[in-house]
Amino acid sequence: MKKPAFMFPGLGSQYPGMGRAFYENYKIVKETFEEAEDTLGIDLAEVCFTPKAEKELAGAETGRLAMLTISIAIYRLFMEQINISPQFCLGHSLGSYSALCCAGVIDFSDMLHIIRHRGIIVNQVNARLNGIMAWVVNLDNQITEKIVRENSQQGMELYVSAYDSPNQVSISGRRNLVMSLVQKVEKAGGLLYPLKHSGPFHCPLMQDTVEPFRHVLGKYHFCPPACPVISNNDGRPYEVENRLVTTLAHHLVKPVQWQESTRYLVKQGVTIAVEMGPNKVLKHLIQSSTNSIKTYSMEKQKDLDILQQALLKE
Amino acid sequence: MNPKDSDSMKEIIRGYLFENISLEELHNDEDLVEYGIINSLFAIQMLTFLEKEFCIKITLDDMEMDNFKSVNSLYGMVEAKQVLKNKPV
Repeated sequence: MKKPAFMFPGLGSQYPGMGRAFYENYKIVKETFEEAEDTLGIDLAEVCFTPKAEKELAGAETGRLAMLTISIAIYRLFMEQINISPQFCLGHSLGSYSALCCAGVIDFSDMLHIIRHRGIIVNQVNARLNGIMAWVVNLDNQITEKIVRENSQQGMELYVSAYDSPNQVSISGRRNLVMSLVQKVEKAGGLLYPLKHSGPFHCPLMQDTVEPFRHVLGKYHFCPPACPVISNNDGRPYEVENRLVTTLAHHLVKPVQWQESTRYLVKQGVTIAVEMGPNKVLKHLIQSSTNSIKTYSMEKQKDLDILQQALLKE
Repeated sequence: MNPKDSDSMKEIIRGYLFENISLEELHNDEDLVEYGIINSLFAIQMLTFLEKEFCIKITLDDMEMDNFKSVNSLYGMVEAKQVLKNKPV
């Protein structure tokens, strides 16, 4: 049997009602939400499942904690019901933390504390910047890079902040400057889509987050992973024992190398990937990058049957 | 692309939705946003399909969730773009 890669989505993939059937039907999912509530004092089940909490869920602060929690809950449910361990774990930006957690590098409640602190640090720096992150889709990445280069000015820089697929990147910068590219991108044949509740993440504008976050990470103990976890910094496995703290802190100012991570999976002979979390963004990105990885998502009740059949057949 | 009538265009849109999201059945007026079936991330994925399939260009102004909320509103957006494109200059 071929072992799958497990992929974990990042901030922005959350939506109201995500994972509700899993929560209602499986004790292990409910217990994961209770564990988060005991740790944080926030009723994330209420945030995720009641429509009136939609705004809170959409916001970055609670959204990050909800994404970590639902991802861990879904992973635990998968292991309880299907019990196939992964060849690799990886995540997109915040999803890397879910990946590390599921690989046993650190336990869930410690990771919740880390993500909460990371959020506070990022928000403090972000509040001073008036910056934003935007997707540029349906445009060759080299053309986007050229547009970014040509419109970047000294003291008003623009950056490519995530390489998602051959035709999709994120860019980060001051809000006005990013939005001034809308027509240029459309003229070149693409579309620029500003991401709500974002900031100029994964670029040097966030430099002031690095040391405070390194300090937070320094308080925790990290264990060797049960399987290699692929880092967004370079698309290679994290060196957990030597460099994890530095790598995670630097990731705040470096672009998300998702495409490089996808290439690494292909090179390692991975042919199946399962997205452990809501919204199928990573499934879509993998599909637009390669034909050699078959992707599944673990999001809805019926996915359990689909996965059971598909994975046991392989 | 051959000109397509409204029913076959709607069938193409429905086909994409059935292929990509978990649906049992779907009425052409059903509000997909309200039920959490379509959100802005899915709309981004869908726009590539719509652009290729119907030879149109979608811009940021079109990325209103109202345009994506049902099969009929998706059809309406595509059709309006095609009419615009085919208008003699």
